[in-house]
Amino acid sequence: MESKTSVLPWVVAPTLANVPLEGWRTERPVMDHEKCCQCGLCYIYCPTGCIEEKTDGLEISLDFCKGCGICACECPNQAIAMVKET
Amino acid sequence: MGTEIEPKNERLACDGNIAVAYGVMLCRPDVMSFLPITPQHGMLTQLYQFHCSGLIDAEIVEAEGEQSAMSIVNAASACGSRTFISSSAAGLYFAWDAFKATYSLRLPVVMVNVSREECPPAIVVHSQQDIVGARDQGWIQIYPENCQDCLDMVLMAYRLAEDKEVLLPVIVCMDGFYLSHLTEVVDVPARAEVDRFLAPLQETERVKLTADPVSICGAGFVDQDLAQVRYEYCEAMERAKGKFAEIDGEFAKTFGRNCGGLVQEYRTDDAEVVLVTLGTVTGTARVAVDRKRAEGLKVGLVRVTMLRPLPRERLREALQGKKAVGVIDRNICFGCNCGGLFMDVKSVLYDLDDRPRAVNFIDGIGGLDISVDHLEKAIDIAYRASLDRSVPEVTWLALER
Amino acid sequence: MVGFYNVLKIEELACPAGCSACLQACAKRQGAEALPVIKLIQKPGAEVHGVATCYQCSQPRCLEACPADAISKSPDDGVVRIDGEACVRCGACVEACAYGQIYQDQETDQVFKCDHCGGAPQCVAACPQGVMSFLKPSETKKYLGKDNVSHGVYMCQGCAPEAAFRFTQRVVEKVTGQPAIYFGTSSCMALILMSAGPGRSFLGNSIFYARMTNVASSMTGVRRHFKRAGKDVPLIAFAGDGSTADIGFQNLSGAAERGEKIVYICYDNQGYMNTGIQKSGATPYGAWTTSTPVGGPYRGKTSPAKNVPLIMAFHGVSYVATASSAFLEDYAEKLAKALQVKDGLSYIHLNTPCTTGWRFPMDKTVEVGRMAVETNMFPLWEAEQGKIRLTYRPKKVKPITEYTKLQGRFAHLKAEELAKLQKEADAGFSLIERLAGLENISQT
Repeated sequence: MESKTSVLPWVVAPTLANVPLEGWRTERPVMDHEKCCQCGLCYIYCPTGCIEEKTDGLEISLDFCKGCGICACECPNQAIAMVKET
Repeated sequence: MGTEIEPKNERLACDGNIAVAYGVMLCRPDVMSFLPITPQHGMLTQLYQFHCSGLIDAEIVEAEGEQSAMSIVNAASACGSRTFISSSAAGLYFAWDAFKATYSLRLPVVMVNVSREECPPAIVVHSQQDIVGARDQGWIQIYPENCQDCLDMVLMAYRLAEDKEVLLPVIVCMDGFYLSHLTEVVDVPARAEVDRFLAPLQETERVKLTADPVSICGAGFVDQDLAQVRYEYCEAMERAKGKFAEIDGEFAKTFGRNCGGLVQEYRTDDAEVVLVTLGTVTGTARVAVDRKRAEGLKVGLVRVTMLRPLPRERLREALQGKKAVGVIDRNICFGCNCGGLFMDVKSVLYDLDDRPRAVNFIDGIGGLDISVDHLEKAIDIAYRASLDRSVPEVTWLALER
Repeated sequence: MVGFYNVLKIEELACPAGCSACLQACAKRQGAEALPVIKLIQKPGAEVHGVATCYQCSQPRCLEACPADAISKSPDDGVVRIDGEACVRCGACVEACAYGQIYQDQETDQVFKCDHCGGAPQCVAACPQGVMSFLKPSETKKYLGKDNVSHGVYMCQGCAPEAAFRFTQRVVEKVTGQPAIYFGTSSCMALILMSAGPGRSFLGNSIFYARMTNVASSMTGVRRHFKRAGKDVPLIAFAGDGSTADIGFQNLSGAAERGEKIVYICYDNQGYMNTGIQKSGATPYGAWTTSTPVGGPYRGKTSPAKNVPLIMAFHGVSYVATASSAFLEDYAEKLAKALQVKDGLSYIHLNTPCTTGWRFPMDKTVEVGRMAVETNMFPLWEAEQGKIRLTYRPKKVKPITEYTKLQGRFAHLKAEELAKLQKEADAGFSLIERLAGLENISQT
């Protein structure tokens, strides 16, 4: 074998960030922006962190939402409804 | 009994545990962790005394289990610390899960294993079962013969482990009780000499765990990369052989003595029968060889100093042209009905065009002494074996089977 | 910008029969009698009823409808208010509100609506059941720094550990303001910390991936290295209950006994979930798992869980706390304390319900976590230098059946088994209360 100075490779998995998981959903959250009071509880509780702060309110990124429905369940105003994906 | 002499050139009468402690102290470790276990505990006491007197400046952690101790030194080594750990048999086995991580992460940890028989049954005596049994677990293994070797090989272990061409963990495989509990004369080198001997290690750069920049240790990778990692490990192991021989030469220049490299030959030039040994039995074997030589037999001795990586080339060189090779094993290779060193040596002999007859002598199991008489008998059997194929391959010397 | 405004949360149809404490309190909110701005919701034929009040909409129809511009939503507290002086009492807002939450006095035509009583709603204070609560998400939000976990992680839908880890690393970022090293091991968290699902998703922080046997001792080695280097790097473990309570318990105990300066967070989903739902030392009595099944000779787990946080407190460590993924402000405060311990070990035991392993619908993760606390099955406490203090007392403790009925893993339990669980919850809470009376529980 050839002599080679190895600066030991701690091999690391390739970065696979922000993989879209919309295919996981059977239901999708639909936000009633009118009724939403901007308490931000959905943002705080969302396991995937896919609810984003925008200038005029909160927005759910459907690319990464897995459709768990925690936001809908926790919303104090029932301003999020889980609607069947077609 | 510990002493508090200054680390300058000094001659001591001490046991192997103390000798190791001096060696470790001289190498300036950063983080050490261990638990006491018979027959190693004297080493720990001495290390702590060095810490109290200021001769050692390190983080020392007496962990609550050898698994933890091994993990502590692994993690500290991963960050770049020079580390030390010592254990024996049951402690080594308890550390297994973390012990298996060290070679894989290429951590240059130095361990001294003070070998001891396996429990159950609860038996507190020497054999090489624990450490020869561990030879395929990825660590470099070197075997001291006497207490001086114990100190010297610690120095060589760091020099080898942290070498930029190697970066592999090293175990100094010390025979428990024979080296840990018997007193011999040991020359302790001066600190400045050791610093000089280890100075080339400053060139080594290795991947370390840091908070900033971001680094990831031990966490997942794509399957095909593992083959590449293992291949590079194998390359490093191969380089370690030549490197050890080089280091042995440097040691001689710096300290005026050395251990003879990967394999040490004694009266082998014209020998027809050669005994192959590992560790302290070598001293007894030399006496047996001399006695048999006095009777007119052409017999010699090969001491295997480095067991892993297996020094195939040197062993072939030393054993070719011999009529018989008698391998002494203080352990058994489970399921192979012979000893571990024998398995290794026999595989090396296969490459020779003119193969000597290879026979195995199992002795020293359960801490029994391997006497000169036993080894003389072994030489006789090896002679007969070279002429008579029906002489069994394996003889249990103590059982006369 | 999103306000993260305070919000009145009302449990749906949960009021006890005949109770109208909130209405009465609302009517007296200004000292003298006033029109209550909260109403009863009665389901036809049902015994239970609920209450409802103004949602404080972001796009209020009442505001749109008002011809006098008398209605506004405050950017400071998010409350939709009616300016009594500008109001012309036309009642357009009453018509416009889809929820009927603007109340008009029949005699004076004056209109009233909920305004949170200036920040301390009287209805919430008066409710004897804890049906109503006044939540302050901004108190949680203030702890959140940058999110370094990307989206698209292959953890289950509704996974509490994923939510909790995201939260944790954001708090660590905010509180410490410096790069930390995270420690994980085989567990559901392998999907983030081992980059297993599907690839490397936790960017921006170093990771040491340990064995299940040695998270705490690996942290020890790293801590001792940095101690010698004179660097105070935050070391955070996020390990499951399997490695914490069972496989790695010894090494955690050793690190605690030595007082290593590390922050060890155990996220407890009460089982070896990553390998298909097997029991661990943290699985509660009665729970179904695949290794404590129901059927034949089996009736779920027959022994109670180890009380790991209490055991850690008895080690005399600097800081121990229980926390819940449903009580995030409480967790953030505790995590901040843990991160600021100058010497010694901090341990947080975080309850994280598992939709897959505990068998409940994936949208109920926070609800189940909440019920664990509200039924005293999982009391929230902390111990600073051995002094225990409850950090949350349920307003009205619910029976454990309110918790067990939500989960399929308890569905098989008979009355006497449920009674045993109830006794366990009561005794566990009472024990914490008694221990809270001691100055330092590790020195008794």
